Amino acid sequence: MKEEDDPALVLRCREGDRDAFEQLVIRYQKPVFNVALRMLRNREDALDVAQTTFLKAFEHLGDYDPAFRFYSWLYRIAINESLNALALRKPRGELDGNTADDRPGPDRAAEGDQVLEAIEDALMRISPELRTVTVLRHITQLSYEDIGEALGLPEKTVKSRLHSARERLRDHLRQSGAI
Amino acid sequence: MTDDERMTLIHAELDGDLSSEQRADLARLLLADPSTRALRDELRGLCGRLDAVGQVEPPPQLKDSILKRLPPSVPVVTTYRTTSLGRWRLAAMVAGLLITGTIVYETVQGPAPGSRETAGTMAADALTTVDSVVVGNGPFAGRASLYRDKGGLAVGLEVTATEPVDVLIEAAGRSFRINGLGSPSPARSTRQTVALPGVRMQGQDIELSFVIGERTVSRATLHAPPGP
Repeated sequence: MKEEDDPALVLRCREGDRDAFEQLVIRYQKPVFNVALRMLRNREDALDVAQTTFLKAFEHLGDYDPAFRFYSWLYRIAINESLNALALRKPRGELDGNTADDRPGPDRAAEGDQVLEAIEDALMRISPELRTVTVLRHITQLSYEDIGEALGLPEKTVKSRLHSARERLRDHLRQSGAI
Repeated sequence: MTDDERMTLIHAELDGDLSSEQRADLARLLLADPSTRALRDELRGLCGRLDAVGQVEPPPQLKDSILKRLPPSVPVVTTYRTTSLGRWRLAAMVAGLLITGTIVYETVQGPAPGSRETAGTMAADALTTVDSVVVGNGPFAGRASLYRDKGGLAVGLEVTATEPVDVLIEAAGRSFRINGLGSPSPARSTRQTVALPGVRMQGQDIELSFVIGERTVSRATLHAPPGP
């Protein structure tokens, strides 16, 4: 059976078809959860953000402008929710990395995946703005155009932020001896 | 070649944006300068590692938990016109830009209470923002700020709510309450500042609970660092 594209599913949702929304959840739950997970580095918080993202998307489907890609709109909600969660997490202006649940779990420790852990550490040490473009580009593999659409930024700004992010990440990885 | 130009070339290569001329420039640079080669290799390795992070599977119950929480009502559809802009739409856009500018200014500057909104003995013109957090995530949203002046501390709240919100403030063993914050109809941002008599800068947390009906919908913490 051919999968329906996003605009067709959104149209059916707007006509009251909840099964169509279920299809959108199935399609995007993984990238949305992963965006939140890499932004927050906390599984429980990421689950909360993923849930809230889809609920808000459903509630505001009437406001969605079909001129934009559905997933850009969805990622924008996910990023905003993640940023809200981060803001609530650090009322004292601490570094994100200090307040996040960044201890390796037993699986991670057993795997000894130090490179991944170093990258996760470094991601939490750059600003949320820089982390956002890094996550959208390298984790969800969005194009610069899609990232610009999701964040409401010109493509040039997206690139500039990503370049800064790479350089800061490299500095952090160097400091930690990971490269 | 400056460092900036060197970085531009390296990032352009990573982004797949090199022109043929830039490609030749970079190739020459890489041959001539080992430090550039090392830098390029580091950044290329970093991008490879980031791409390799990949995505983990969400728990299987995520989908069901979302679907279970969907409201019963069907979303209301807004019609988007793709025809040319009318005069009124243009005017609305200009108004929107002005409002956005104000919001951006407010965000950059941080919320500051007006003199009429300050309760107690706070002198509005001498207030300093000590801490500020985003609050709310759903039926209401806004910002809570902690201010201080010579007289003591105050909490400023600026929220948009669809239902009246009661705010409970607990600080230094004392409790304060603000009832019915927000403007449900029409929903717009409202601001209120309350003095916290007897609460000093002693390195303590000030806990805020936001209640709609009987339900606590959000919590936030403001921190008052030790005073000078």
